[in-house]
Amino acid sequence: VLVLTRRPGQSIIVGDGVELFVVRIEGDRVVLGIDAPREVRVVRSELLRDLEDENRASSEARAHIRALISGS
Amino acid sequence: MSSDVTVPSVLWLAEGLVGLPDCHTLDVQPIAGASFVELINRDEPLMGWLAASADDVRPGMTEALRATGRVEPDEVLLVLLASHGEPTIVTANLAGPVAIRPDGNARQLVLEDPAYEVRARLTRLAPTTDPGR
Repeated sequence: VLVLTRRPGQSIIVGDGVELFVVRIEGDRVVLGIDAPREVRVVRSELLRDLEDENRASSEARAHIRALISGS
Repeated sequence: MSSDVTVPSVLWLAEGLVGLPDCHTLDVQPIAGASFVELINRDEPLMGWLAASADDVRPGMTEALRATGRVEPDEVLLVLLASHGEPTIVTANLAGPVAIRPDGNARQLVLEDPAYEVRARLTRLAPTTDPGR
């Protein structure tokens, strides 16, 4: 893992055309700005994990929901 | 489906679903008496999803995302359903809707906007004109 130290207003470049700025620091939170091409997906990692978990949960729930529909 | 949505009978997801990158081909089957469809993984039929029109769950969602450019004008949106807890509640994944083109090409969006929840509760199982949120 590459670890870099940055101050508010400073940035790093990732790959081609992605720039990550430190906008400000608020207590224990860092506010980031991301300048990236439209086709580059930028999301919080926990959201991707949530969606992955939910996709699997949805598949496992299919029969259960069908049974609920049949009984409703 | 209760909204004015037409879904092709086969969906092709070039990138798969989030966390399921090998899930490329989904057969779409209507469910008699319900406003949902079933999406069945052709390569692994035991894996499948129930899905509803996004606008049935969150009226205006498709138009809102078209306005921001996240959804193309010819794409329709489905959301995947899940069930949780006891007593069971049924939820719809608004944060990861599946955008579908008329030719069946599809992609799962990842929406960062907190207005679109991963688990939006459905208050009725067969939404018609006044779906729950």
